[in-house]
Amino acid sequence: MPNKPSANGTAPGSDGLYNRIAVLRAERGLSRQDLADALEVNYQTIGFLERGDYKPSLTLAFALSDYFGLPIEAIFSREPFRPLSEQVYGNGKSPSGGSK
Amino acid sequence: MTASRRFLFFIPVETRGSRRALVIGYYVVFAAFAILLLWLRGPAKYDRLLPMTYYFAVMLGGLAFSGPVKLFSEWQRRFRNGSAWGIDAHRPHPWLPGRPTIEIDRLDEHDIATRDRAHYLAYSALRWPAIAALLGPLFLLDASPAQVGRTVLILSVPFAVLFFSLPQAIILWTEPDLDPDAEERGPQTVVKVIP
Repeated sequence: MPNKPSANGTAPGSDGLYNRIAVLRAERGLSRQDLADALEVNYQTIGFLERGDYKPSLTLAFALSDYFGLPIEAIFSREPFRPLSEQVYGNGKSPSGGSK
Repeated sequence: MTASRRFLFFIPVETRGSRRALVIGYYVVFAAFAILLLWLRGPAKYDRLLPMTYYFAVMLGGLAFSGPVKLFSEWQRRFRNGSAWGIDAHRPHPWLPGRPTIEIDRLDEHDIATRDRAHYLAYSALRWPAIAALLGPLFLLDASPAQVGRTVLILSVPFAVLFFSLPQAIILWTEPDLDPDAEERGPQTVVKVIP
């Protein structure tokens, strides 16, 4: 069964590789086709990446990193990502509570 | 891995269910055709089916441009970028001037991985049954060489069509549905980071 992005928008791959592509794409208001055209891949490949069904090559990982302007470790991780809201606002106890 | 052409002989291949139905129908039709030929013409004429297996197999694509699976070969990229084997993709259509000759879907790294995995699975599955079917008749001690040859010929036809078509069938069978702009149904957290 294909993996689906979890509540924090990360997709666990079958080999334990997580990514935030779906969140980053949604944040920028991009369709899969838009992102695929920018990276010169097929839109299905973006879908497979988001679902964690495909592990990208280093070339594609760097292309994603360049496109989003983020380091690779901000997009891919071997550990589950914490929700972005938690990273920005802390653990939800206090909106101004600062970061963890 | 399926091409943007979403029909094969007016059969839609847009959804996973329809692709699987196409694969089942494809092999059922070929099996029925082979049985019919064997029944009507007899084993002596069965070898007529062997050259047809390639043309039957390319209907699923992969080996030819016409099927629902994208072309496997890398030469399509060269074809798109200019010419390959003396054929120029950008040459005007001979009968329809001004119309692009052909539109070829590109293979990206995921397509290549899918293609290679499908071939590995197909040939791993076919390897030992093919060896058994083609070498097994040699151990029929009571059979004459003519009988052995005929048996090998009859057994080679299904393996020939599987050899050419099974990778494409695996791709069609396993490819999930992905809409280009469909959002995943799962919730997503989208946060704008304010510096």
